[in-house]
Amino acid sequence: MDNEALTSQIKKGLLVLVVLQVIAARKSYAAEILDQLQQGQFATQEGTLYPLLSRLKREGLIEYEWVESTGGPPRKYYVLSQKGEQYRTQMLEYLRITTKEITKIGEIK
Amino acid sequence: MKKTVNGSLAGKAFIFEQDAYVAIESFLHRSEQRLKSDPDKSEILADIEAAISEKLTVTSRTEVVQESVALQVLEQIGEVEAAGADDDEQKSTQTAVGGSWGDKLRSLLKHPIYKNKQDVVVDGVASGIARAVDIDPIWVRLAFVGLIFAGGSGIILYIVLSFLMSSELKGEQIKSASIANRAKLRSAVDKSSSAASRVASPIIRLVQLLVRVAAIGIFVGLIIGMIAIIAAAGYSLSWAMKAGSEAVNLGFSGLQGYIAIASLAVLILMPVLAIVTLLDRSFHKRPRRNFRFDWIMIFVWAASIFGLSISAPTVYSRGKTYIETKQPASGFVTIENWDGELTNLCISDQTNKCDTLKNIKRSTDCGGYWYVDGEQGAGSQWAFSIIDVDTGRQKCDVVKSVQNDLFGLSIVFASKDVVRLNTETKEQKAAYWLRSVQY
Repeated sequence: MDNEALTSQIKKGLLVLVVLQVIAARKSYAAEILDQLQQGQFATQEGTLYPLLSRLKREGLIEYEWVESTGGPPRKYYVLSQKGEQYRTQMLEYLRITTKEITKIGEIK
Repeated sequence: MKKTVNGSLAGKAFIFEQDAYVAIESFLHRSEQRLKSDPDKSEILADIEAAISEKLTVTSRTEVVQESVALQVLEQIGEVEAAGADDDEQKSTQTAVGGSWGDKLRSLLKHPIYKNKQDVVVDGVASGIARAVDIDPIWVRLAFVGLIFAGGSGIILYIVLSFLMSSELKGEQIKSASIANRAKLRSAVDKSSSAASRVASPIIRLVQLLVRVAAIGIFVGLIIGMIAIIAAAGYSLSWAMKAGSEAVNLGFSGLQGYIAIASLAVLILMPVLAIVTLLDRSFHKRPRRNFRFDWIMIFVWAASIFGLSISAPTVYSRGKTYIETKQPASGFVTIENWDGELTNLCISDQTNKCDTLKNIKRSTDCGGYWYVDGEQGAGSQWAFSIIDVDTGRQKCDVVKSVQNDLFGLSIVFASKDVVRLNTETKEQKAAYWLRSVQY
C-alpha cells in the first residue's frame, strides 16, 4: 500500500469539509473550487466534485446563484447556507478534538 | 480519411472524430449509470456536459475534435463518483449493473459491452462479459474453455467477440490516471484480489491456473490456426485456379458467366455483411449510418437476384451440356472380371503390344489417351487389337472412342475392316459390359 491508498479514505471523508471551507472563504464556482484544490492534498476533478456539490445543495449546506460571466455561459456561484456554516464549524471542532485525541492515545503506553 | 460525427454538448455543436465521439458518449453513459440513484442526476450530468463542452472549446485546436483531445478532456474531468451515502456509493460505482436478473438483461440489451482491460487473460472479453452481468469472470472463462471442446467454437467465438467488443481502454485509462480514482481503484483491486486469495479455496486457485494454461493453449492454437489459414489460402488459391478453368467449362464464361459469378457473390456476401454490421452496431453503439447506404445495399442485393435470373439459364444449359458430354470420360470406364477370356480382347499400342483389357480410363491430363493397365500410350491414339478366337488371326485397329453409359461399354473403331468377335465364347458378364463393338 502506498501513501495514496492509506490516506484516500480520510481524504474522501474530509473532502466535504474542504469544499465547504473554500466556499466559506469566498463564493466560488466549480472551476474555481477545483483550481483552489489543485495544488494541495485534496486535488479532485469534476467527476467527483459535481455530484458532491449537488449533494451538499440537496442537504441544504450550500446554495448557489447564477451569475453572468464575461464571454461564457452563466456560472453557478456557490455560497454557504446558515446550516452549512454551522456544519462547517462543528466539523472543524470535531476534527480538532479528534486529532488531539488520536495523538493522545498514541502517547499513552 | 477519418469519419466524423456531429454532436452537441450543453447546447454547443461540435464535430467529432468517430473515436472521440464514442469516447465521450461512453463516458457520459457511464456517468449516468453511476448517478442512477442520485436525485440530481440530470443536473449533475448537465453540469458535466457543460464542463466537457467548455474544456473542449479551450483545448481543441482543430476544427474536428480529435480522439486524443477528447481523452485528455475526459481525463481532466475524471470518472464520476456518486456522492450518496457510503453503501449506495459503493454499489453504484463498483457495479454499473445491479438488481435483478431482469434488470441485468435489460441493461445488457440496451448498452454496449466493453472488454475489461483491468482484468485480462487473453483480451479481456470474458471479464468484460462477466462485469456486464455482474458475475465472477471465472465462470465466463470456463464457458469459453468448455466451448473450445465443442468443435473449437470457443476460440472462434472469442476471436469474433474480441473484434466486436471495443475495449473500455479509454475510460479505464482515464480512470486509472485520474487523481481521485487512482487510489480508490488500487484499493479496490487490492481488496478484491486479497479477498479472493483469502477466501478462495485451493479448488478455485486450481481452476484459475487451468484457465491460465488454457489461455496459453488458445494463443498457441491461434498461431497454429494462422499458419493453417495461410496454408489453406494457398491451397484454395490453387484450387480456385483449377476450379476456375472448370467453372469456365461449366458455363461461367462470357458476359453472362461473369454476371452470374458477380451476382452469386453479392447474393451470398451481402447478408453476411449485413449480419456482421448489425452485430458491430449492437456492440459498439455506433451512431447509425444513414439510411441511404442501407437502401443502396438492398438495391444492389436485389440487382444481384435480377442478374442471376437473367444469366442463370444460359449458364445452366451450358453447364448441363458440358456435364453430359463429359460424362463418358468422367471416372473410370471399367470392364470388370474379364476372366477366362483375357487374351481374346486386348488393347495394344502401335507396336502391337498386347495387353489384357482390365481397365480402360481416359486420362484427363493428356486428353484423348487411353490407359490400359496403367500404361499410357505414346501416340495420340491407341490401337485396339482383337484376336479372333476361331482363326487366331490378330487384327489391330485404332480406337476412335470409348463410350460408357448405363448399359455398358461401347468401343468405336476407326477402321472399316470388319473383324468378327467371337462373342459366343464370352461370358455373359463380359458381354453385358461390352455392349457394342463397332468397326
